Amino acid sequence: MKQVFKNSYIKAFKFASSQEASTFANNQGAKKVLSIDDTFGDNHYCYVTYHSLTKEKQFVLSFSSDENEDNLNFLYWDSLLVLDAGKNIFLIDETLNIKASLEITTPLIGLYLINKESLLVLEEAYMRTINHNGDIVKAELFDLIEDFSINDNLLSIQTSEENKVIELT
Amino acid sequence: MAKNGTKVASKAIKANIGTKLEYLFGKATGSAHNIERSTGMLRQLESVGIFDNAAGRSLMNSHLESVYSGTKGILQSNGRYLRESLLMGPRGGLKVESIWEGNRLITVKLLGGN
Repeated sequence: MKQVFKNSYIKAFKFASSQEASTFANNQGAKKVLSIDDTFGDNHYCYVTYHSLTKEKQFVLSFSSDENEDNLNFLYWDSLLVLDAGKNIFLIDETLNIKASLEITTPLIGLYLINKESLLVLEEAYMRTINHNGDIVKAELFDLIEDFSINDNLLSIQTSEENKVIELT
Repeated sequence: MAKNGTKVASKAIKANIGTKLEYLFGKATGSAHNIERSTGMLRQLESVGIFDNAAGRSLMNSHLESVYSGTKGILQSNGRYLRESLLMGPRGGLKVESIWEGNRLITVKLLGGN
């Protein structure tokens, strides 16, 4: 199924080597191509975005990761693209410049837009909220999350040691 | 006690693995993420011949203890340490990434297997 967001849809391609992925990315004829070189792993991906009507290729991202594609995240956040490449989260602007990169320190549970200004990056044992520049607005370390819930502005987490409620904004 | 009567520094601090073996051996409850990760790691361990029994737990426990005491690890941006190791089972090996805060094991990620 084509999932259309912002009048475009994405296809993911996987390659056996970063060289193959890079060659594929550069052969697409897209106006904008970003190959993220400082990513590592056995899986080499290209994300190609297409216009939802004309099918014109809009931009191409290529990167490497140890993660399977099912575990990766890609998110539109206003004019920013947020790419979870497994070890890092990249904030990429419309011209495909990397504005910021955040290290993922423990396996990522997921990304969650709190509001227009802030994004929650929730890991198994660490949470951060960031702004459009990738600045960390709030961060908390805890033991491995056993369970959690999110309601409005409150993140409730349960670890083996404590129950904690964190106000997100 | 040292010769001059002062106390000798205590022995090296032991790794605090807590209840994380439960997580590694598929026994997690709670969030969908937790259960998926936990059962995924059990499958990876089983694929290299490490099972949820006394021998498997003992192997995992001693592996993590030796990783803590034998490697310094890589400092992460939040002050915790990532330690990388290779866990060998009867039917193959897995890469282990363990995250530590001081001597306390926070979480583990297994790569390979299945």
